[in-house]
Amino acid sequence: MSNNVKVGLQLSIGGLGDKSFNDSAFAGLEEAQRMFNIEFEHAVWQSPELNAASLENWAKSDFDLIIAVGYHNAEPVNKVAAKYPNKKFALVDYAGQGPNIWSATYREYEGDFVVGVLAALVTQTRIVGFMGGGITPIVRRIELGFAQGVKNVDPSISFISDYVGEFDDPVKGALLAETQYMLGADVIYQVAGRCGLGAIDTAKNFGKWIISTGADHSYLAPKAVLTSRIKNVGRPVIDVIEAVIEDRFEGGVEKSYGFAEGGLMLAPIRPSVSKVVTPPIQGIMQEIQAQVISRKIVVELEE
Amino acid sequence: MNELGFVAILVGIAHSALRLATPYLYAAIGETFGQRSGVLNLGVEGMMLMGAFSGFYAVFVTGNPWLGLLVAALVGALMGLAMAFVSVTLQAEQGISGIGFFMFGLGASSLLFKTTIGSVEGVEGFAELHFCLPGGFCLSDIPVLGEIFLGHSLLVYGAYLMVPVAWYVLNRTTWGLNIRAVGQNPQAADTLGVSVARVRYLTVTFGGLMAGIAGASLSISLLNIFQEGMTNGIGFIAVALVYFGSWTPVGVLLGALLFSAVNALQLWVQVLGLNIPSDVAVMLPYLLTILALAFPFKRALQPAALTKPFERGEN
Repeated sequence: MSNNVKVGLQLSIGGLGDKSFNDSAFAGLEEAQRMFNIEFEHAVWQSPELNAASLENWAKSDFDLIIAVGYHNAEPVNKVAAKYPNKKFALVDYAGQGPNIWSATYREYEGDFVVGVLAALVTQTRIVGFMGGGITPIVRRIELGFAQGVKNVDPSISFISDYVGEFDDPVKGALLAETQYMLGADVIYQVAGRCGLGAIDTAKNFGKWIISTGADHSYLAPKAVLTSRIKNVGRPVIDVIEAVIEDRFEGGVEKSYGFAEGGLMLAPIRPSVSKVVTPPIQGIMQEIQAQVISRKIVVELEE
Repeated sequence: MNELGFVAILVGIAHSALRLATPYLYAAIGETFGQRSGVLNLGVEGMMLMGAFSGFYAVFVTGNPWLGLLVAALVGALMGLAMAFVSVTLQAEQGISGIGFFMFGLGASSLLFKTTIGSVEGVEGFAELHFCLPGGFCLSDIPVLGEIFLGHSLLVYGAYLMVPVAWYVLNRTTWGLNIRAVGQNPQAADTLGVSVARVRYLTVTFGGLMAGIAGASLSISLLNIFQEGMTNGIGFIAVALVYFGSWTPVGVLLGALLFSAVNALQLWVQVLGLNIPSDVAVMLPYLLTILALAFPFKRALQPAALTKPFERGEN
């Protein structure tokens, strides 16, 4: 077992400090360094072309494993991996194409289902909102998982779902949330990137509730943010590094991460919202989560 | 959600539109002054971003929204002063130098944000005023009128206050007369002893100050966050609104309200599930901008010297 494995990590859009995707991946890398004493370099997001150049630089030199995170790095990884068939690559959050690429994908919908249950349990107006960013297949899938969680509790709860049309404009996110709250929703699940940050501020101003994604956003509005559904990007990063060190890396394989694999988690319920998300409700959420893990509850992805 | 009444929907749109018009109003009224004196400042968006960041940073560090507002106004004014230097003293092509200021503001605000804060943070900015009575009843709960007009923050009301103030200054004061003269016929104004350069320096600096406040209205009042490039074109639309409003504060007000109402309407169209594809709904506000600018504005009202640098002894 070698202990000076060299790893390159290509980050995604947003970069370090996003308290989300990239920070999570980087934390995994640092953890791996503590655990296995690896050497590593990382590259921030520039553009698909420039990212491909960074990946290629690593591939040309003596790096043992090249990891890229995020859907936007799929093209560069596929391209560079095809050019260097003897190198090991990993792609997180999207399935790569190539016999030397190990991919990690997420079953986000497991978490979306559980927060759907939460939303249905706390709503008093019996109207639950879903707010998506861009209209992408992944967000659609998240919406389906969430809607199923709501319906699982009570099919008669009204479910409103809207898309901002993009991920970057907090003003539009705030407006859309305002619209849903005025329509009577008292809890919204936001999966809208930076648009969602505007929605969180709106929730605070309206004195309504919001469930967030990407990072634990409770600190932005402690009384409004009930919880956040978070992807643990560091987990697959550590797993694949460990696999390389133990010489059991497999290319062309896609590993799926859900609650059971430690790829998903819900942010802890804070005391600031424990009167809303009461201990009994927290108990139900844990039970539902356990049932999702044991596949007693199967989240259907088809409409 | 069809059980929701028609009135409630209109109230919702009006409430959102009234709030959303805030940054457009500050920026466009500031820009009106510059254009009335003959200077087109296309850099409003960049100045807004700098104002948004600096105001946010000040509140993030000190917790004082008023200080944030002051800092944003100062930073905006400094950028306005620089724009005035470039376009009045150096007589640069205004359309081009404005774009330079936009790029600078976009880059500098992103860089400063990354190096100082670097992650998602929120602040307690200007609070919404609900005018609550001791009994727990809030004036902003009064049906329709209260719901539309109350429950906004001070910065929102400030934007509307700027409209009559700007109208008064432009139309009823010597200052306003000088500004209009400089924009209409700088040679004549110069002959009468009005310093064209001084007037333009003042209006463009004031425009920058207002752009800074416009940015702060987003980062420390409407959203209470800062994100790179968060103005998303509001500054450019504000420039367009000045044309749309025929260089008058009231015209700008109407344009800003119309634009923000369409923006709010677009979301309601989606939320109510009306049968319009969401891509089309998202385009609506921008289509409206293009149409509004293509047709009705009265070119005759355009300041004759707009974008033309002044040189003494010309003609």
